[in-house]
Amino acid sequence: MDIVLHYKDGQGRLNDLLLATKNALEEFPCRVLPVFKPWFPSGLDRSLPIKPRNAPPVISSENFEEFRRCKCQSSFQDLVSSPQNGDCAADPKKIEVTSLREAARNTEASDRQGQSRDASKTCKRSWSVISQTVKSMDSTQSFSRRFHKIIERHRLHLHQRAKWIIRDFNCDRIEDSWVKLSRAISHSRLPTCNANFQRSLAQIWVYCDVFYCEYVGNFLKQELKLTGSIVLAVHKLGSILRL
Amino acid sequence: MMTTLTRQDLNFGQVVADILCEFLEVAIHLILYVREVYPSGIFQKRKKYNVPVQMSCHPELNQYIQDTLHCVKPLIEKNEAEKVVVVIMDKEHHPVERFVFEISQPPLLSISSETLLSHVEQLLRAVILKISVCDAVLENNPPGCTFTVLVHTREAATRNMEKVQVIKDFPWIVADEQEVHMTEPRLIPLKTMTSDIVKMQLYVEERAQKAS
Repeated sequence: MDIVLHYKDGQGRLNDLLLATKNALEEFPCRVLPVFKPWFPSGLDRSLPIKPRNAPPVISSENFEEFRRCKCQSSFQDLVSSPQNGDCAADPKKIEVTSLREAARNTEASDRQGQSRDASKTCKRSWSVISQTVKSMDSTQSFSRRFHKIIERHRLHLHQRAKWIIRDFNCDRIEDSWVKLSRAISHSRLPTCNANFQRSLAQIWVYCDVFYCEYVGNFLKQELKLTGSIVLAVHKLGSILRL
Repeated sequence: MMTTLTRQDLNFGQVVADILCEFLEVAIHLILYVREVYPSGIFQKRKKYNVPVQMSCHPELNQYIQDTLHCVKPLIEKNEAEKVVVVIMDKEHHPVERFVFEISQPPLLSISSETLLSHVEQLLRAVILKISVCDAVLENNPPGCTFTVLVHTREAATRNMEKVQVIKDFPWIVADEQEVHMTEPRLIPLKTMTSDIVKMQLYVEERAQKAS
């Protein structure tokens, strides 16, 4: 590449001009800029999603075996003594008889298989018996202000079913509480209630209409002498009240 | 009969949120089954959208999924949830698969009961069917995987914290970056759906090297 330098006389010495031209033709230095790192919050918070703090349950192989056993047991009990089970629902005594007969049969079968421990568990009833004689309750029953707000907030229907959960730490002996509760239900002291003893979870689930929830909750706490708080749960909403 | 409604109309957001949360519940159960996050013995075959699906019958897991979606519902109701992501993670809590449900709701709607009941159901059914066969296009996951549900919001996550804290014993936090980002993911589009009330696309991001 040829370069022609035009200059006027009297603009300095030729050597100086040549040197300046040579310098000007040298490669322009490029400085590599460091990566930009903002010191202020970078909007990371915006890009990060949210998640539940609690981890989902881990079901190990031991848990799974336990679950499978309980599932078999509960499906058996549902079949035998569920209140929705056809004719049995109409006759509570029949439930008991059927249930006991089935349980006895089950015990025999289990004994044959050398599983006496499991058999003794299935002998215990897990569903409460509902009495057919319904005592009339005060139709003008009122709720507390707090419960009224909960009903409004979640738009609950008064005949919607809700579930009180009694855990083992709420009572001295959960089996004793279950016996008392079953007796109270069969004597119609708990309107619209039926109950289920989830032995695998060490929990008693007491189902009732939303309308009677508060009454039932207070009854359970007083009559069963429960300590700590019990939880009221509604399907899909989860727990809505602690008493 | 066609009716034009806006998002502000009474209960509209709630209707959409109900439909989506119900769908997400079915989808999450099915993903957990198909991707073998839990033993197949805890699942039972049920029918939803007129197709067979697998639903867990493990009370704790069911409660967890229900609680999660119950908290997400207010965000969907207000059109503030951008993405709901079911992340499957390995033992070290690094994501191996991300099932991304991208949701968008139109501001103006023309809906009829017919549209709501049949068309949307057909579209959701198609998404469910895609999930049920997605294992054909995905690599096997390593053993001992677990999952979490991430919710990407349209605004800053911290601004939405209050809205999701619906259940007292079910707190929400901002996710760790390691749970969100995946190195060199493979993108597998599964299904898009466009209806009058909601648009949704489902894709999977799969980690290239699953065995850590």
